[in-house]
Amino acid sequence: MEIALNQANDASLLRLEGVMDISVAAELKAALLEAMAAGKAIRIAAGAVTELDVSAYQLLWAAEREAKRSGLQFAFTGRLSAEIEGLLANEGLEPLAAGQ
Amino acid sequence: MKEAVAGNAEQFKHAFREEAREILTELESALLALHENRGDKELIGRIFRGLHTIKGSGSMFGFERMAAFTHDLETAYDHVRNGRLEIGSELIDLTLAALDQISAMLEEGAEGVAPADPAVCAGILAGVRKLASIEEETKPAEKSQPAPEPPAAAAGPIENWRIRFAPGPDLMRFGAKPSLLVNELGQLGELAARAILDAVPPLGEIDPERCYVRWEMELATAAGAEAIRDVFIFVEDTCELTIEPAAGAAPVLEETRPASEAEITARALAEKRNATPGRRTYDTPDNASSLRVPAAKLDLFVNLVGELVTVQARLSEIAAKHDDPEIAAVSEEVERLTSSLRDNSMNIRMMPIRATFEKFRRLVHDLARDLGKNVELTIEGADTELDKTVIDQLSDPLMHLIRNSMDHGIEPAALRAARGKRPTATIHLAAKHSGASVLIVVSDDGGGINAEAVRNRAIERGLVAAGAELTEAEIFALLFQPGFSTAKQITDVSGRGVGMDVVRQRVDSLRGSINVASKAAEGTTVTLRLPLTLAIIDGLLVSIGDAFFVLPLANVLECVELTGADVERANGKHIADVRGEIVPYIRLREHFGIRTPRPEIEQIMIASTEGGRYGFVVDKVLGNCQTVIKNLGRFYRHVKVVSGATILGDGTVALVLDPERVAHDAVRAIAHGVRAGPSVAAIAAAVKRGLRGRSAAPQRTV
Repeated sequence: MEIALNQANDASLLRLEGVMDISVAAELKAALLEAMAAGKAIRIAAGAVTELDVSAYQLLWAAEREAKRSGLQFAFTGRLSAEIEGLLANEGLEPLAAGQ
Repeated sequence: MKEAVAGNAEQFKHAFREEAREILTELESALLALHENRGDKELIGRIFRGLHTIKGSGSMFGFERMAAFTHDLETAYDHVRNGRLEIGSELIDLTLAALDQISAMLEEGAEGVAPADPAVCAGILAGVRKLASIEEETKPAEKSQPAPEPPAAAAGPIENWRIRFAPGPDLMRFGAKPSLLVNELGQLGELAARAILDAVPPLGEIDPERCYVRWEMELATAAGAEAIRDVFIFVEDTCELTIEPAAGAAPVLEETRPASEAEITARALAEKRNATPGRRTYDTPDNASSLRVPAAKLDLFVNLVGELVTVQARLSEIAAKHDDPEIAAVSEEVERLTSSLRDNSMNIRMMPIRATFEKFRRLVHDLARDLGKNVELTIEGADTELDKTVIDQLSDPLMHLIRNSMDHGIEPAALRAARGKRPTATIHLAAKHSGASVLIVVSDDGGGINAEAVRNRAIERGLVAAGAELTEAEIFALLFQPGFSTAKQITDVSGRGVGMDVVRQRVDSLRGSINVASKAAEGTTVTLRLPLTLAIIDGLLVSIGDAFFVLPLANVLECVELTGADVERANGKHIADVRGEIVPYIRLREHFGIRTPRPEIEQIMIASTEGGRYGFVVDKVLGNCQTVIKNLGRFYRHVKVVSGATILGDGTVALVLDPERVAHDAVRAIAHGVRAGPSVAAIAAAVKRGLRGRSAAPQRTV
């Protein structure tokens, strides 16, 4: 489980790894808020996420909604694995950053 | 943060354990009932659903081993449900043995619980797999995300259901994952889920541990509403859940795919279930109808109410001294409220005895098999409610009584046949209210107790004198003597006493009494009379000299005066004429060796006891009192005539008398020509001294 936020010139880079669930939700929220506050495009590397539960999903979803409202780009540089996307779809959760 | 989550997860595990224990008990009853009635589809369905829930929820709450172990059992019962496997004694016995192991896995780590035995588990699984022709799978339930299974519950026609599921705010905090529930629903059939996120607040306002997502789902399944609700069984108290047949029920999903052969078979075999669609929401009274509260919290609550009752008594007394209508009004109001609070708090602790009774079906089943006897257990009055503390302590004595009945009461089949009895023997467990007591009856239609043999044995053991004349009841009472229980297999009654002194001790500690009735060749009935509650009673406060006593109001029938003239008329005999009826009385002053001068007019409290009506003579009757009973502590536990002590409003200690015991002791003292000597008085005084010393401190220390 790792959540790392790096600032590049044009974007905030958020790298997520491992299990993203309620045990790291507070940390994820803080990282997303920080990224939003930077006012730059948000890029998320999520290729190494092994599990994504509702607590993490709703944070990412809310972040995406707010980024869109403030005209910030919200995109995945590494998409969630097909397995996780499949599970999200089974649960009726719409894909994140669908337009990317 | 993580620690908090872990703590909550533990709390949720605890709740799961409690639910699972109930499910295991239900499973056991269902299995034993199935033993009698092999074809009962409803029972098979219940067993399957129970196992399914244990498996599914077990893996959700971290009991992976338990879930994995239950997997094949569930499959076996699925086969039974679908008519692919016939239910037989072997599968039932294996399942019962498996339940023991599941229970051990559930309680793992708890003190005094033997861990599940891997070898036994493996043996059970091998047996089940062989019976049900299941091939060993590779740890199916140990994956963190359960792999989708074929529709597990295909027992009825495929129906469409609309399910709305809104997790409660704390669901995730408790360690439950809503997505797992959605996935589990998917295993019941074709699921179309839609997550609704309109309640998700702006990022900054999100509580990361709260679930804001809710779901609307359509499910096409043959499983029925009950199976759907079972998926949510552990979270339904904390979520909004609506399960209803899809309106206009055009079976859209069913048409889109051909029914599989298994489903067709399943439908053909399907039981006609009348499952009514479930609807659970926060605002329905149904949802709020029960609440799980740890027993310790309840005990604390009752203790506090007890303290309040004591303080209220003091307030009433102070108010009586001050002639102030305002204080009097407040005091009366407090008294009324306290009384109502007391009754309510006692009521909260009342539980039906059903679970305790049902538990013995298994004991009877196993013992009958081991002893090669044919015995059925019948239960009556299982809804009778009594105090949880009493129920908790009833298990052991009942077990000993049933064991004794099975072992020594019920005759071997040949003897039953010779006596012209039904080949199947009966053990009957019954509970009913009787005044402020509950009667628990264990009876059997066995050979009865040989009173003469018991008497001889008692003489042999030196428990009674050789020439003593004993009534039948007195002889049977000997069975409960500690000396009797050590009997080895010597006579046909030996062993009858095994564990019986345990019964006696436990019933004594509950302030109950035991009565045994038995007829040779017809059977034995043991009746336990137990108080409804242990903590607070209504009593009559009386005084003798400067000593105070409380007699439980439930026993007291009336109070009459005893004058010097009455005593003279009776020629010194301890009998009173109450409206033409002769009532023997016991002078408590003499009984307890209280040496203060006797008043001219005394009071007789007439009380009903098992031995008949007795009068208890005291100096003064002071009035009603609500009494919080405090235990005497282990030093005075042997003082049987006193069942506890209480603190009066002014801090004085009063001893709570057990009229049954006092009468019993007094009659014995007269029969044996001894007077209740100063030793009783000394003990009573010591009890009082002990309590006084402690009551100087704040009241709750007593």
